[in-house]
Amino acid sequence: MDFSLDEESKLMVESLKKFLAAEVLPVEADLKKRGILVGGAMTREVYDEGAKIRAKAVEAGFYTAHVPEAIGGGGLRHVTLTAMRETIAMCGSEMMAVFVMGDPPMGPTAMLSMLNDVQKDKYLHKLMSGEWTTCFCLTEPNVGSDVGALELMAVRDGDDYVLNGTKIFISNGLFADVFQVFACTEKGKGMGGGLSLFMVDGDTKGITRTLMKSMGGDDFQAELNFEDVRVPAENLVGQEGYGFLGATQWLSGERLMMSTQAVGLAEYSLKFGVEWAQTRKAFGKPIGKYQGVSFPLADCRIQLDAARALTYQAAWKLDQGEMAMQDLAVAKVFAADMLQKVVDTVMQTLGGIGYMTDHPIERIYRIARVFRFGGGTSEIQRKLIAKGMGL
Amino acid sequence: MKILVALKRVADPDNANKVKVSPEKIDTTGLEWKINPFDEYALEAALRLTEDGKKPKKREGEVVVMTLGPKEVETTLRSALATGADRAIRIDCTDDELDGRLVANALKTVIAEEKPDYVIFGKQAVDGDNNGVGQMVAELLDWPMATFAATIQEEDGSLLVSREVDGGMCTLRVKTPAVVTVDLRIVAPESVYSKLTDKAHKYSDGVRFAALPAIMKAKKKPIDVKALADTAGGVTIGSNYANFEAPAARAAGVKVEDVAALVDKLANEAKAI
Ligand SMILES: Cc1cc2nc3c(=O)[nH]c(=O)nc-3n(C[C@H](O)[C@H](O)[C@H](O)COP(=O)(O)OP(=O)(O)OC[C@H]3O[C@@H](n4cnc5c(N)ncnc54)[C@H](O)[C@@H]3O)c2cc1C
Repeated sequence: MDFSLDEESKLMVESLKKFLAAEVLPVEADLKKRGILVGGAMTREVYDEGAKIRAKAVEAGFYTAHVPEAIGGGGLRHVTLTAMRETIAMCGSEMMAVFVMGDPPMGPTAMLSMLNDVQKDKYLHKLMSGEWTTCFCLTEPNVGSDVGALELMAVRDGDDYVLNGTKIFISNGLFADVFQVFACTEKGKGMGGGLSLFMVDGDTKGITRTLMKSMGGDDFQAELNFEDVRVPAENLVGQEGYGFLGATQWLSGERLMMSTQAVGLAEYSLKFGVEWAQTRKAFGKPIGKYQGVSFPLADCRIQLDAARALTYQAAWKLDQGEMAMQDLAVAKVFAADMLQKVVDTVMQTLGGIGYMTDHPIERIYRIARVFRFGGGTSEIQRKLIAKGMGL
Repeated sequence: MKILVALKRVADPDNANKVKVSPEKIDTTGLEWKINPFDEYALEAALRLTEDGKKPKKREGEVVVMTLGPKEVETTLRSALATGADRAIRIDCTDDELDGRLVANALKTVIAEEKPDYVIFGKQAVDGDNNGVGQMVAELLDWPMATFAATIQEEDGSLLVSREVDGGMCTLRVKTPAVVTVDLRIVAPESVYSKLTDKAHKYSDGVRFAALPAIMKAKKKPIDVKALADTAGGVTIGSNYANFEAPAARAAGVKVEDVAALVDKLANEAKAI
């Protein structure tokens, strides 16, 4: 196994660092100073400022680096993409860095390879150029992990399908120009022929979008209500009843993204703990000289390195053409637990200052929690791992 | 138009504390290498001089980067090619075979062969801070030279080059071909104008980053390798390093009781006032 970066990938990561330093972090600092970006929350104004970063990221090739070459993307290997995503997660940005790589939820995903030529003309190009953004609409009030039980119905009526139902927790749902909606087209069939995927224009009559406030405070999830929403039949992606098959491929990509982000965010967080342990004095010494402080931080290093190795191993296996479902699940469960542990240890090391909203760790502590269920819960990952073990 | 830019790789200044020093040598194993920052500015200036600043931009002329060093320095060249340079030249040697005079002589040979309109250097490399090669090359070529450039404006057959001096700017008009060494300010938004560039155009502050497609294309751009013996013109290394010593660790500071004690220390110990 070799997940070292080749020369070209190193250049890409270097270039990305420069991009973040020149085009993203100063913009974010400015938006904060002007009171536009507050508490890492997405607003229309922040989103519009982000669109400017997105345009530059498209030009620089970062935005579509993850998209297969066959549909016009950079087609980079997973190991390289992982290094790039890690760099972004480590850069300390609260929000604006999400506009750099066109990863889910906003950007074009590998899943869009399934679009036919007409659909590509209509949607893919606009998503690749960053003119439009999208969102991934799966979860519903009564259905999360048990995807086969989706209730949002799509019923064929002449040249249209008519959609009725509700999606919740949809990231970028407030802003997306086009939705990727999973719907039930035949009750009782579940994943085996009952779940279809539709491209739905965001401004179609009958759709209402409502902000869902969250613990992370990013104001980035929405409830989407569909009431007699007419979608032209030509917007059905792939074969009726089999839309979810494509999505499974996408979800494995998201699992890798989640563990990568957890690793990057943990690395960024750990720095605060180590620096504080070196400089904060109590009872005549820097607190890091007490094993009660240094050993938990050493444990963080162990967990973090292990999570990174698992993440890169999964990425490397994907690059070898393996599905790597088991490895992705292992990495995700481990990295999500690791992140929470690291952030908690760092906050403990910081003492009171880490609890204050002025310190970055306060916000990270809140958002760290989502990694254990976003993109497939840790229990569902374990279910998958156990199944792989023949259980 | 053709512009040559000399590049040197230096140990990443952000990790300089990792350098292990013994009296005989500086141990460079495990160090991260980067393009010398002032050389990055030189490259940025050269690229701006071949562009019109429009969108999509039109380029006129080529930028050639050159360096001396072992095969590994091709990473540095590749990074410059990804940023926009058109081709590269490496003079093959090891780092400890070199000193400034030898480097200047080798570069002179390459420049004489390539016949560029301008050669642009960083004002100094941040490892040795010698600030010498650019000037020596100008002397060896018998070309006009402008150093520490903060702005460059291209004219017909000459360059208008300004450097910052106490209380203002000092501006030279140098006939081309010429040697220019650049300072930090050269990457400010309004520092460099080619003949093609509209004076209203403002560049992004700082050096540009390489776009991903350009990084992929850089693989195919040529790197020409020359032998040191063929370029040095008989010059051999002239300086020997006698001893290396790490800077002394900083002594701990003191806390003073009051302003009077501070003034006393500044006056009598530091002799600063
Ligand atoms: C910030 C955020 C952003 C999100 N963005 C999106 C988005 O963009 N698009 C989208 O479609 N969804 C999104 N989601 C939804 C997310 O994917 C779901 O929350 C997740 O899939 C879990 O579903 P659920 O919350 O309905 O929990 P459930 O599936 O109802 O699970 C509840 C609990 O039961 C456990 N459980 C369920 N089944 C089993 C089992 N068989 N064995 C053991 N335990 C089990 C789960 O692990 C969990 O602990 C987002 C969620 C969050 C919090």
